[in-house]
Amino acid sequence: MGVIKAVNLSKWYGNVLGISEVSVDINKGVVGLLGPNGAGKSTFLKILAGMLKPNLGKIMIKGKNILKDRELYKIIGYCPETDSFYMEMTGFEFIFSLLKLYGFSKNESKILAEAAIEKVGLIARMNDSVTTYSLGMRQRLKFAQSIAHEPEIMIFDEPLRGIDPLWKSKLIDLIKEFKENGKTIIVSSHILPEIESITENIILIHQGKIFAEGNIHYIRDLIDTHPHMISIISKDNRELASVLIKENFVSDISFKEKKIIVKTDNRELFYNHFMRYIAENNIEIFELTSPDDNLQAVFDYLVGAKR
Amino acid sequence: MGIRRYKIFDKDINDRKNKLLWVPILIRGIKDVFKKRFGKLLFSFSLLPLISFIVPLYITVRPELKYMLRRIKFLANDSSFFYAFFTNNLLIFILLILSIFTGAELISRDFKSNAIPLYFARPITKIDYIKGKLSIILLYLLSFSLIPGLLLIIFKLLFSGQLVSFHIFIASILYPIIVALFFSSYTLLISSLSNNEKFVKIAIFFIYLLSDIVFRIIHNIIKNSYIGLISIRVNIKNFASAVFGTQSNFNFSGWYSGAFLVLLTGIFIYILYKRIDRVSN
Repeated sequence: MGVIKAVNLSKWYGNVLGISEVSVDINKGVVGLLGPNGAGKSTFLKILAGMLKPNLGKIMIKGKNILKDRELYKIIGYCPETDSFYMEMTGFEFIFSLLKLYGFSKNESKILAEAAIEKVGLIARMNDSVTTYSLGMRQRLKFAQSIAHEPEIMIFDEPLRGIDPLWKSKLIDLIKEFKENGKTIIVSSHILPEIESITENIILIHQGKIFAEGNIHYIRDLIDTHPHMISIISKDNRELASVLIKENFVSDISFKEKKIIVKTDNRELFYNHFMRYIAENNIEIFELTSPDDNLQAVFDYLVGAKR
Repeated sequence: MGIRRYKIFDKDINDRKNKLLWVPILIRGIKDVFKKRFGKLLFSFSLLPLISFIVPLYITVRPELKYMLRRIKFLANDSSFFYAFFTNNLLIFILLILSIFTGAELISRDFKSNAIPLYFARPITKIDYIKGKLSIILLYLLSFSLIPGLLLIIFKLLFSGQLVSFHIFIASILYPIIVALFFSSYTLLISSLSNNEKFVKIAIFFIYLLSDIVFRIIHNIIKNSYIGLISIRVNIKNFASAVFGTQSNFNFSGWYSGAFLVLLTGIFIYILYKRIDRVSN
């Protein structure tokens, strides 16, 4: 059983569907939650964090129903999508007072607050009022409050929004560090390169339902409605194309600038034949890439088609 | 920077069963109220009823001033004295102003700051949240009603060497607690209705005032004492008359008013709970 187990979760807001019959097991490591705006990502995350009661279904954290055991909240860190601050407080006061709500003593809260603030690079500004913080700094502070108590499960809803590239990269490293330390992390975003830089494991949610779940490349392989694209630059593109087109696993070949774009329904078979062919015939290859073996393509093929 | 690396935690946080998670909300609230502008001025002003009742208390023990007892009715006995202290218009007005000052923004500010998710992403329950917020107002109200009442009992002992009766002692505890609970729940409920602090402050004051104005108008028309139940001020005074055993100005029992205040407190807290539940879900 996973660390988090969602069983048939459904949530409506009046007549509006939030999520519908979502079942998923989430294990240790980082999972990227993807989906277009309004797909139900935030609803799903709020339910995971025990902040929203589903209309149907249940959430089990380490085998216990989160809505029936508030002690479980101690091992969860939740970073909401929206700004949630007492603007007149200082950054330190904000984190400190939230840590007190876990039952930490004054001394413990002080140490943990400073450690979390240091991780997000706000130590020099921690005694300034939150009002004086930029959007990116507020976002980092929000991130800090979710990790300050060093939870086992971290749920980040759009954590990198509004953050400058330098700190984006540092927070991504921090998330990876948490992963190395055995945490269970769920990161939502609709910025695909951000997710791709953090993890290859995704849950793709759209219109309140889970479209796909697992490794990006594995999911891509399962999408048989779109042949795999392989881009090749060789010394003699025309000759290579004339050989490849004879193979029955190649469905289409086109030329684009200096590249040959090959479409195949069986990528594995293609590579086996292709590698043998170029080795036997001593063909010089300058570039070999799979332009649609990435998150963007998976997202486009799965979500784009349903839009 | 791991928790255990600091070696300051005697017990793992996950194993701690802290039943008082609302206390940090109370402490934070107390500090925030103290930081407010005019806070110290208001608190000094709120001591006026106590000061103004210490003087008559002193009069009762000075033989040379005994003639004044005939002029000041409430000095006749302990019941009327403590009734007069707890129901004087200045004290009730101060309690209302203190409720607005300490509690008007307690929940509305959380709505405005979108801070509700931050609370409920932690182990505290909605009951803890309400307990924490309620206790902030309660603490300030009791500081200027229950504590002065008990101080008056002590002053009486010091001046005359006589203890008040057990009945007056219990009444001096029970009455301010119920009134403070009523004002606290009333304030929090209004605070949960809007994220506009100014609106909340005006509404708390206006509804209190309106309940009395409507009572006076209807009472003048239909001359039925039971109409007093719609006035917060009347209920408070009528309840005090029952608790302290003095003559009521109304033709219905003060215990009805007390029961009504307790019922309203319960209803306010229930609605408040539902409001928080709805907002957090």
